[in-house]
Amino acid sequence: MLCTRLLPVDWNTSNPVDVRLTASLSIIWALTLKELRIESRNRDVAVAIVMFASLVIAIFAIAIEPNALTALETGPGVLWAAITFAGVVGMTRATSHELENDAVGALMLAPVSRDLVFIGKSLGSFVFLTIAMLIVFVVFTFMFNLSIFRAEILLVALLAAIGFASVGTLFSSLTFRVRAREVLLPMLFLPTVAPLLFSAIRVTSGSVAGETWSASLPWIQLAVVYDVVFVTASALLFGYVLDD
Amino acid sequence: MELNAVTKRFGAATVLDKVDLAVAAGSFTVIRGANGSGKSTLLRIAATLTSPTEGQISINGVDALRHSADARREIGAVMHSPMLYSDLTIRENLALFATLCQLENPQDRVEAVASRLRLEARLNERVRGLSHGYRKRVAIARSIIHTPNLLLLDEPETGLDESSLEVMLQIVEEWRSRGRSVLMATHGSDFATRAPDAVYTITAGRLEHFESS
Repeated sequence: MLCTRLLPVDWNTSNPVDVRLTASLSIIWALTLKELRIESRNRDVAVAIVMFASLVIAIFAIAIEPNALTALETGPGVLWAAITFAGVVGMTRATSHELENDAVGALMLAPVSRDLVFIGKSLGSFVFLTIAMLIVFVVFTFMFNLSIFRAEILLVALLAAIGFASVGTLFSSLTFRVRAREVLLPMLFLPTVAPLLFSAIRVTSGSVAGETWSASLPWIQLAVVYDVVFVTASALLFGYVLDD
Repeated sequence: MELNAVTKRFGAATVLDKVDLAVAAGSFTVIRGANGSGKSTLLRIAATLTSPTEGQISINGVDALRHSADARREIGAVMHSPMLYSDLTIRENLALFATLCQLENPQDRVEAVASRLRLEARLNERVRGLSHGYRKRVAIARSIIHTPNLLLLDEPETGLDESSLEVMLQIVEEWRSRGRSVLMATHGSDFATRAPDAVYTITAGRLEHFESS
């Protein structure tokens, strides 16, 4: 009865499952749009990720002076280390707009389930991470002279972005009100995403070394399982961590 | 709204101690107390922003702890901080909340509440550039955009000028006259003396009934 009062369609004549799905999608879209709108005005997160990752890649490229062999050996590790650390920087920036004016309180006051808030916020982070990763890939290709725009690498990058975004959203919310959140966030985030990182590095190094798809498959499967487990767990835990 | 034996502890500190409170439909209830007495925590618990350590809350018959999203449909809240996104405009902040509430024609509701709070001229301005008083007005607009049955106000008079206070009082009166309820926490301003139906005092987390009209 309470739920029906403000819904835009008549529950008595519409399929309730369709109504709930439509309502949930519009809420998720509104939250994602909010994240994108704020980021498009500040460009805090994308710039932080791209600048930090590019800098790390450039420093390693200057130090290693990669040739055909050393680029294959060290390149994938450098690439994913740069993306991971840059991701942490980006997530720290991404939470700052929620803290200002206690803006996250507006989401907590809204009559929506916390898991929808989680999905909306994670989707926003996923979009930034994906765009930033693509730019970093271009920088890496230029610096290490390795072509990484291959299907299996792009797939594992997409899976990594999903995992990073969901785990990052959970942990950045967990550390909202912690004074040392810049320190605590990487301490929680990095060990948790380690399996995803191993998977991404192995797929990348295998692919650039000329291995077949089947050699990469177990690592891609690991990334898929990781995403299923951690996206579900993060969505379930998000409501608890948001509650102060 | 009913709070039954609500207790809140932060570590060893007991901020609320077995608080019982009933806010009747169509009533204006005021909770008075000094800084740190627990009134803001009580309102945050009533708004489902914070979970109590013990106790139960029901809002319009809904168990607010088990069905918090349904309970929040019945609640509009103005807390200490405005809870607004600085990099969004007033319109975008209000429209976001209206969409989250799944209101029909969210933009129309935005226009309506903006007009009510005299914000029409500044709807497209970002919150970052607004004064404290204007931010408070936007927070009030957000709290009433979904016409909730219970309005929770935590020291709403802070930062408001005379004309905004008058609008706030009109909203309180309108809520009361339409059978909706208002629960307000204050540290004792004259705003609280505008004919409330019940006044409680809170001291060190314990609530005492002070007077009823």
